Amino acid sequence: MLDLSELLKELQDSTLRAVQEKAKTEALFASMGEGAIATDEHGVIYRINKTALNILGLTEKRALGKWFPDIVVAVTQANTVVPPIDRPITRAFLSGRTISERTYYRTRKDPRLPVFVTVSPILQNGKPIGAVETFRDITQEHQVDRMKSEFISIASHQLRTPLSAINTYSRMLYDGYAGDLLEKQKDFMQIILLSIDRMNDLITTLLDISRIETGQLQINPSSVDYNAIINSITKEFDQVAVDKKIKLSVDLPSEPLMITADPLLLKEVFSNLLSNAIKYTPPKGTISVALSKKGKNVILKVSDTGYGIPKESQSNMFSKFFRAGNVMQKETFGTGLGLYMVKLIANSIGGKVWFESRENTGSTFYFSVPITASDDKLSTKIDEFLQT
Amino acid sequence: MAKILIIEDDKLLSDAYKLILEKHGHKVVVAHNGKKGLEKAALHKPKIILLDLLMPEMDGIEFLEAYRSKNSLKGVAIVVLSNLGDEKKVEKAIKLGAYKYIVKAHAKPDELSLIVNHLVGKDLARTRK
Repeated sequence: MLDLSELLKELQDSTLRAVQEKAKTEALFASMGEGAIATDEHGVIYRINKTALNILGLTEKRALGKWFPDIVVAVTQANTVVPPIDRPITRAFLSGRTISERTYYRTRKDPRLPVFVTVSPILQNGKPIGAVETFRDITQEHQVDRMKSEFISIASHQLRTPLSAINTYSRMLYDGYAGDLLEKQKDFMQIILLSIDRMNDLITTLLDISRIETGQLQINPSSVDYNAIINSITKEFDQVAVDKKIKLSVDLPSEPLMITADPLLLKEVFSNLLSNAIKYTPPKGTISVALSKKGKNVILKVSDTGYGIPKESQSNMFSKFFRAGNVMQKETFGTGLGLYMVKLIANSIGGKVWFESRENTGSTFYFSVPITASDDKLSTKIDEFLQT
Repeated sequence: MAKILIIEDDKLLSDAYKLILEKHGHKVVVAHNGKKGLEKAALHKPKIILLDLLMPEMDGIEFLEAYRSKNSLKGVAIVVLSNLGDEKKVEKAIKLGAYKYIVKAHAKPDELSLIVNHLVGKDLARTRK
């Protein structure tokens, strides 16, 4: 049997150990090279380290006890405030998963500081009881990226000049401006002309991408009938599908589906998804396109019975210049830019893109976009979530 | 047949367009920048102007502004020769009264002459009130 003094001693020891552990954890938190902020389950800040205070230009007094999205304001590339529902911290709470992404913070020194954030929810019995966010200033990486995009943009602009001359003179040759061609010569010319078209497409895509990446993309939302957009693009691809003996079916709502979005961007997304489906589906396959409303979003679904995406390639499908291993041997032409572009567009208009796929069975791509360009009610929804 | 002024700084391209249009029986004058373009426009009074946008000395937009300040666009059609990625400039040119545009990297000889023939056949004075 323990006597009282032993019990007391043990209690003292364990208190000491707890205090030491706490001090260690605090020292660890404080001395981290990354900014670190801990919040409770409502998103209220209860700890913030020096690095975070330095980056944000805050004092501990100003930050503690405040609601995280209020005190740490995130903005988009276009410098509009990111609604709380779209913040990684909220998404981490909602999904119970760690979320990492690039964003911009409005700090004292910089109205749009590029940062990389990682938010991990702290879970107890599967329920979030708080979250820890770490973040770092990525100004330098950002500058390198920007320079890369600008380089691509300049290079593409420079490539267009000789390409215009190549195009004009090749077409003149083909059309007989320099005399009639033999059949074989015409065949060769056709290959040259086709390659010029591909080169044109590639340059256009590179220019579009660098424009989005450097924040020069102009988004012009207007009220448009999504059905009409799908119909017009499908028509453009009809012949290609017929040539490849692919059955193309379209299932659209019977009424016009009006949404507020930039029609050019919607067209770009759908053309990319549909042309990929046709390109990566072998002859006699089927492609189905469907459009449906789901809550406040419209979801575009493009399914095919094509080659599918191998499991090991799936996590990279939206990376720049990435092409899945299985299609590289089947389809030689592809830039690995289409889906990257779709993802960029989705990000810039508040949409989402995702897919399901099985190799040798087919793929289904989904693209969801809000019916209205911005919806303030969404941010109140998350306010409600955080208050409960 | 019409009198056409090509304003394009890339000599390879202006040579090609000249060849195509002359083959279709048009009379063609060439200038390699906007400034020379203005001089030749005053001298030759072309019915159709093919106008490049990016040029040294005076670019296409500056040419349009200067041309409009001295001439009426009645009976004259200005066709913009644009490059991939020039959409904003094309938009501005159209606002300034350009009639149509051709993307140089896609242009087909027959298309070029078709556009010109179409413009010649059209009573421009009547369509441009």
